[in-house]
Amino acid sequence: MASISLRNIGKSFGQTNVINRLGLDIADGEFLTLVGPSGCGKSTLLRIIAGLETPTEGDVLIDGKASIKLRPSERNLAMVFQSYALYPHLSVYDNIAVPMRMRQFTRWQRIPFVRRLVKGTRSVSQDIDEKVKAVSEKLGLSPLLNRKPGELSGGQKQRVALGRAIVRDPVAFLFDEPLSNLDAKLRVHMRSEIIDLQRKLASTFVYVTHDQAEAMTMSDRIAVMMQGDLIQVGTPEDIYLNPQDLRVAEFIGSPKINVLSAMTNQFGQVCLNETPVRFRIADESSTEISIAVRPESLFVCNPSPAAIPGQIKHIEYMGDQAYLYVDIEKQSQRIIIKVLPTQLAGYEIGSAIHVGFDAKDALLFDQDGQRIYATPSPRSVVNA
Amino acid sequence: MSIHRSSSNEAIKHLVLIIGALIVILPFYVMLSYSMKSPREIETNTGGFFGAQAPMIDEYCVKLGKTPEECTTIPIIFNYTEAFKKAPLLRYLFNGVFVTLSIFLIQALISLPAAYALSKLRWLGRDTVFALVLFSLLIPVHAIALPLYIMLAKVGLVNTYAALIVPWTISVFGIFLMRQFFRTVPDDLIDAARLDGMTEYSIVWRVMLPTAIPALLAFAIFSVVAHWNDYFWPRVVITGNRDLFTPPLGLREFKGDADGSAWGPMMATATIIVTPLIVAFLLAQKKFVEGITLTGMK
Ligand SMILES: Nc1ncnc2c1ncn2[C@@H]1O[C@H](COP(=O)(O)OP(=O)(O)O)[C@@H](O)[C@H]1O
Ligand SMILES: [Mg+2]
Repeated sequence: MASISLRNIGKSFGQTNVINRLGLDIADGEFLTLVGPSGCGKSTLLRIIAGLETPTEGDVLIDGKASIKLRPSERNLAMVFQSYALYPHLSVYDNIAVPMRMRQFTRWQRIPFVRRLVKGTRSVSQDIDEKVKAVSEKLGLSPLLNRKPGELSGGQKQRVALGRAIVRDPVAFLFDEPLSNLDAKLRVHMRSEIIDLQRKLASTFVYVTHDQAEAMTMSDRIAVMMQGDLIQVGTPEDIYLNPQDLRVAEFIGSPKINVLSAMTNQFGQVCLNETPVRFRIADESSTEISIAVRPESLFVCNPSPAAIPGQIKHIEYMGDQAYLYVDIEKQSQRIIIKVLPTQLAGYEIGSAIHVGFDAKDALLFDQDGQRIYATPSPRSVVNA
Repeated sequence: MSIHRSSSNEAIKHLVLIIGALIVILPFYVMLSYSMKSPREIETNTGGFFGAQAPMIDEYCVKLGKTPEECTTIPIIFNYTEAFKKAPLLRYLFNGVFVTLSIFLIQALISLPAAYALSKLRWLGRDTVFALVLFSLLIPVHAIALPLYIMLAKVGLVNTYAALIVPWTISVFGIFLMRQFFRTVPDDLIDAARLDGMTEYSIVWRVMLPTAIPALLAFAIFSVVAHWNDYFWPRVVITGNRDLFTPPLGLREFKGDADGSAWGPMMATATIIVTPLIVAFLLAQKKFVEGITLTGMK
């Protein structure tokens, strides 16, 4: 078990910067998820931790020890890949046993047949055998030990990959989108298996995914990456309720957060479609800002000067909830309102409605997407 | 109408293929047929495919002073026994096996790590080296035969097994073929092996080799066929020492001197020489086709 610290890690491939000098401390026993859209450098960062890629600058500390010069095998980390990366020509048993054999056998013992001639092989072999059996028992792989990877389903393959990772007691586990190749149902199931595993092993997990739902449900902490930058690190609640960057707000949460473009006037009042809404920001000059409101924080309300008029374009009924897709004048983005199915009565496509939100639920971002804070007026409901 | 046209299209396609196949098969047909006929039948072109197998008298045997009864035999038996008697064919076959297998093993030993480095490792100059490999593919053997011969002669290796084997041990074709195949092996698999504690050499032999068996087998067939059948190079570097003759060189023994060409035994020898290849191909046919399609050569 180990903590992992990234110090000022930068990586470029030729001229392109893939990771821009970032730092991150991962505590011993923590489940940390690296999340971000495809191509933002998550895998590259994970591979740098694993030692498969050398960073252009910076250092990786594993349990406080500078590890940048260590080969992957010397770091004693285990990694699980999206493609499972099982040896196609070896049985499940051998796939799980290989990392043990590579570590515990001497050079001669690793060669089949020759190993029988070397002294001490038997006791090491027995050791490995017990370990492999125990791990496959734990993962429910015992009936499959003689199969080749080609004869397994995706979920089974992923379990073998997990087995291969845990069998040698690494100090930390690295996962690179391990569930992306599975179908939706199995994915949800495997999530809980991986969480269980982490609780049992009490080991450090670094988990890469582009799926914000996975990140939200599994992690102790989430690190959000965008274009090679680490833009926010925090607990799932923190990331969801308190995004520091518009990109984080937009990336986390499903359906996506609603973003309304607004202006501030010279009094610092925030105006939506030229109508002042009842909060102000400190900066008293007119600039463009964005108001971001989660679908569940929007509601349909009575007409009033502050309420936002719009028209229903689409209704999505989900059974336990429903979404209204609403077009608002002078706003390019269609907004989504989450409502209870019981509230749908009387609305249909084309209905003109008014939309409101509570000022405390609105997140404000400046032109660069940085979070800014409003000072709400006493009566802080927009529709008043 | 269109069905009709497409089926006549098919018929034409098949006709062309059949004609092609006949052209390829015809020499084998003649070889097999001659290997069973008496000299007279070969000269007069009679006897059909199998020959009449009428008893014949071995004239050379009579010349040695034996009675005609003692020298009477059946053409097919005569041809095949003569094949082994007139030349040490078994020795030639052994040489052929030894040389082709040595060549292939060393080729594999060299091309696998080379192909791995060219396909899966990142290093300065890799693309240049690969371009050189491609370039070398274009050089015909015959163009460099003379310099090669001179080099071998300078180090005193002419008329040795080494002369037959060493020039072929680095196969750019093998490197190219395996490199193309290795490119299809996922990088994740190699990274996983590295984390499992394998060195780069272990990865070549324990991960790449087992996954590349079909491609390697395809290469094996190309290599073995080429070197088993090669007449040119053994002819250049083996001068005189019959103990080092490979099977194709052995065929020369039947080229007529004073007593005319012995076509029957010669064709019997040829049949014996190609049989191992045909058997090997039939056994490995499925894998072979797999390997060729895998490597995208088809
Ligand atoms: N070996 C490489 N050579 C050049 N560019 C690379 C290499 N590996 C990754 N990249 C680039 O780095 C960026 C980040 O890749 P990656 O870390 O795989 O993203 P993610 O895992 O977040 O989808 C991508 O734009 C990708 O094209
Ligand atoms: Mg990735």
